[in-house]
Amino acid sequence: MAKLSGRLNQLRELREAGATGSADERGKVGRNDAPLPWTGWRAIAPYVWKRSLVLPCPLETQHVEGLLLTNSSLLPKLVFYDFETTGLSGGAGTIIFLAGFGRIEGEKLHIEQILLVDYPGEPAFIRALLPYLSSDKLFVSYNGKGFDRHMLLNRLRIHGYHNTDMPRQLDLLYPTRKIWGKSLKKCNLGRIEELVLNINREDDIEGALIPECYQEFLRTQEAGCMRRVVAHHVQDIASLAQLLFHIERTAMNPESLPDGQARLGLGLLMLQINETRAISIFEAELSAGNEAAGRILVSFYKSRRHLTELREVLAKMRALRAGYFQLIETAKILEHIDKQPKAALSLIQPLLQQRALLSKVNYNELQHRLRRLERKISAM
Amino acid sequence: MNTNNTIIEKLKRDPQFSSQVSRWHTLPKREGIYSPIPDELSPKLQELLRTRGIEQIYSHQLAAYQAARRGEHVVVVTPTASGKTLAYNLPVVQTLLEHAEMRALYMFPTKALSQDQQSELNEIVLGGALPLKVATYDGDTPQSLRVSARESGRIVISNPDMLHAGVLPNHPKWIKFLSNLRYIVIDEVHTYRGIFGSHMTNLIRRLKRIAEFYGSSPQFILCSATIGNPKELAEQIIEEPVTLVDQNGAPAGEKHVVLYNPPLVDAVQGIRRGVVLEAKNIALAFLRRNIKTIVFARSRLRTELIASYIKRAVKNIYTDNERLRIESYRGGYLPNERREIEKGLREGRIHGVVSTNALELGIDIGALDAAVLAGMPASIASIWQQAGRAGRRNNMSIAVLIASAAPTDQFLVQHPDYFFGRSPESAWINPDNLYVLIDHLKSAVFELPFSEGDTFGKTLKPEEIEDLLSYLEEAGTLRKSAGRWYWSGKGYPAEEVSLRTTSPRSVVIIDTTGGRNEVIGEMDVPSAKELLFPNAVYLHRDRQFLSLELDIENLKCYIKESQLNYYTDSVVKTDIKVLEIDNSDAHSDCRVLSGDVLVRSQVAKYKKLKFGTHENLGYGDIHLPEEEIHTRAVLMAFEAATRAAEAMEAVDPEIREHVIAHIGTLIRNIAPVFLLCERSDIGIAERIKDPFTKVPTIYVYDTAPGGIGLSEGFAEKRMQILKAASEVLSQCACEYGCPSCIGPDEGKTELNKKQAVIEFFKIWLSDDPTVQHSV
Repeated sequence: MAKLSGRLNQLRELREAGATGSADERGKVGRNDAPLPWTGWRAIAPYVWKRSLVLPCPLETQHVEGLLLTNSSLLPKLVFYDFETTGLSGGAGTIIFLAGFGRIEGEKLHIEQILLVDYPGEPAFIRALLPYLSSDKLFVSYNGKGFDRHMLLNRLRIHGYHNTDMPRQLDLLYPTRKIWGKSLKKCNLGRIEELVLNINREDDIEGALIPECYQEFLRTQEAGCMRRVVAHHVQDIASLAQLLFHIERTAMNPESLPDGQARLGLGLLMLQINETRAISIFEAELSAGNEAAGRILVSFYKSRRHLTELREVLAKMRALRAGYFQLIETAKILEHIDKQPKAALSLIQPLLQQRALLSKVNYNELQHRLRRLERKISAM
Repeated sequence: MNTNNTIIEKLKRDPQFSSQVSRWHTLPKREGIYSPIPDELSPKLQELLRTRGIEQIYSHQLAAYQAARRGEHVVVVTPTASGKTLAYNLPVVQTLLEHAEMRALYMFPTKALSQDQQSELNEIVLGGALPLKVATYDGDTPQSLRVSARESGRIVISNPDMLHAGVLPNHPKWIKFLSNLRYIVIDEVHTYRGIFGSHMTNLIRRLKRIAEFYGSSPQFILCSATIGNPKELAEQIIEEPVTLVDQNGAPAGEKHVVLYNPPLVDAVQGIRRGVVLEAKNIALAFLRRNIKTIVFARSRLRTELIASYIKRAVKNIYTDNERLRIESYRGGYLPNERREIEKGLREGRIHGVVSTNALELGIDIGALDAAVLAGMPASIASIWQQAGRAGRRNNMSIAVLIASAAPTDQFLVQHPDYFFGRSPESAWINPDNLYVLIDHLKSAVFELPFSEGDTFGKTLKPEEIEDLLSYLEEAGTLRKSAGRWYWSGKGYPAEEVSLRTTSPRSVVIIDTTGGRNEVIGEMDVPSAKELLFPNAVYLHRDRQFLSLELDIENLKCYIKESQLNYYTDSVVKTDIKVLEIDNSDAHSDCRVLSGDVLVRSQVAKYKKLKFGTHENLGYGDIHLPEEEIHTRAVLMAFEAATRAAEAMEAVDPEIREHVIAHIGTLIRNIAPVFLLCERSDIGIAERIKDPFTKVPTIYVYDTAPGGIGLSEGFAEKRMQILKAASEVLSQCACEYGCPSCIGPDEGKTELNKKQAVIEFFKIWLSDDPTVQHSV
């Protein structure tokens, strides 16, 4: 014993002075009851505080129909949720210290936040989350599938809830990426708020600083930067609601999207969930001169064998520019459907003249097609 | 094998060869001891064994099976090729077949060994269509397969590093596996010694803690090569009583073990022909008779040298290099290069391999017929393992052990009775090394909070654990609240700890020849400072490189191919500060103190040595930041009124400093034989007037931060070591000191320093009745 503690003391001496907090701060234990430093919060269990907020609802609820929310009866099931954690790398030592759940009631967004004010309260904190996890809810998040859901599962398991049913998840990251990914490149929530939702956060705290801020709160038990963390967290949840309804509104009114890439993205998202409104978006884009929309339509009509529409699209594309894709697709129709290999050949031959402009793959493909057409012609 | 026979007879009759042999030892062919396959084995499993041609099992396999099935922790000691995998697969597979929910974890020290094992198990499981899913889970497992390994792997094969950084910190994901964990198999347990073993005990402490949390208490089956204390080591690692199974029932072919001392080329200076050239010649003699040969070299550098000399000797474009393919093999090659060489050896496409101890482990490289040891590994256990690489099957095999000039080698070759008569050394570890312990406690708290009074392993008292946790709390890494400690540090503690080296950081080696930018290997930082300093010549397989820049901060080293006629060897300078002395005993020969020290070492210079002749072509300077370690040391202080002080009085003042330095060299050379460690695991420093003790002092310290018990081991075996040192010295044939004893005499005085050191020992050890002096 003497040996080990002696060695520890040497280590203490070797350690640079000033790297640690004062003994006073270290010794502080989180308050497990009132008085609370902030108004609106109340203790619901030792070391666990809660508050409820009511915000104006960011949407016209009656307009909801269709894209992500298939009907308005889903509205009461929506739970917008978000967690703040003690670290970003996961693992058993990372815990959730702040959970927030938002639901829509009438014209209002009701948010409840649950805060763990010190580690010993974690079992009670987790218990306090259970009532929210009802399996008939639809949990709306931003990257919840990738992060928050796993965090929650980890904590539940550690506290002995091995088989808790998880609510269904609607992770807005994926539709958001689909729509705005190409134009915005990075799709973190902050960027979406700023560039899509027009939300300007004031006095916000950077997400990466939140774990450190929580540790400071634990040491000092002073509100300090935690005020900013809880405010940040409220905004995260409000933004989820705004984003969801922004996507729904946008879906009803695709022209409101300022750039073609985003409109195409929206169309692709709709295609993915079998929403036929996608087609009118692509048609409109093609008419406006967007060739990429034409390509999507070609593969869509081809897969459904809608030949009339397919021909129309190719004709529109031709009016724009007789590019490689358009020519090849037209040649395919001539060859396979119209059975006119000569006409197909006459489309392809000029293409082969421009060898320098073709990629190797395209060139080989053309050569192959050419030989087949020539065989067919000679067999005629 | 016939060819083996012929060459063995030929070597025996060759007067030049046999005159240098100090002992030709023949281990007779041994018949196997068999037992019937246990009746209780599931019919499917029995059938499967029979389809693989196994009608009965070896006695030790049955003993291991029975002990494991009785619920005891077992350690099986087995030489190479004695069927150890069946010893643990039988009880594990049988139990898992009986209980559909149970799981097992297999741990191998390297990924290469896991791959071998997976294919072996697949044969058992898939071959008989047993309903057991076997999954490998290591750094190479694709993300897409990890979930199914965790969820449905009945036997998961992994390594300690993955358990440490992947599994335990994410234990909630492993809940199904961990709650049903029934067996843990730890293979090659003898490799878990020193710092690696100290980490291993702590890793097992963490694993047991998490298993207990999920309500399981797994049983351990361990396998070890022959070492002095397999049971003790196993018990130290799992901290539970263990049943020893060491009666080997496997058959073995006749084996010749030859101790060979290269001829003296300069009797005055005590210089013998070098091991590199001797090993080359002996290996060539084998290879040219189509005998599959493995050469073990003591360092990466020598491995490359010997391989290139052998290749040069057979180089001939008309005969396709005599149709012999020889490869070198060592750590630092990329994994796919290593796999390719292993495969080539197994399939017989590669005829000879020159390796460091990297191939000493049970990696499957097929049957080899001859082993040539170019210099003795530091332990008798290792010597037997390397020699055991030849003769896996029933045929005759030979191992030639070539002594280098190193004093330990000379000691062993000149004392064959000592070598053959002695059981291999014991392996030991120090799980309570403060640094190792702190690292694992951090991870353990990350995995689950600690309560006051919680234990961690069996050797630490709860107060000690509390003391450590408080220390971490002061550092801000943990937070204590309501009687429990919680993780409050940043990130992921396991990421910062490597189980293998004391330094988790490694340098990436980048080849920039001709505008390339290609990674060809990596190396830990302390080794990089000694081998990759700017202007160092670095050898990698067939190629020679010059180090251009060593960027320690960014962990990169840039090299380019070169054609120099020399290689380089660095010289390290050390400085020691005593932090605290916890023990001080006055002996009649000197005062012995032990305590904690701070060692600062710096690679300051390097030598250029010519290829072939190894002559010194000059020195260069190295400018690299120093390394600092906090470790354990033993001090021998030549205090007034002790025999050592008296001996020092008798030495001419002009050479006192040299004499103490020579004694240090001698001790450093001899001690590893007694401490189952590498030469680099201990450090020695000699001071003619030590600032701490104020008298002449020799320090012996652990080079691993926090110590792994070697300095304590030295204090315990001090008299034995000094006695052996004195014997080596007086029996050495040289006149003025040579690399085989006190090191060559580099000073320019008229006085014979070797004689002075002999005189010194005479007085120093004079009262000890066990010491006999022969001059």
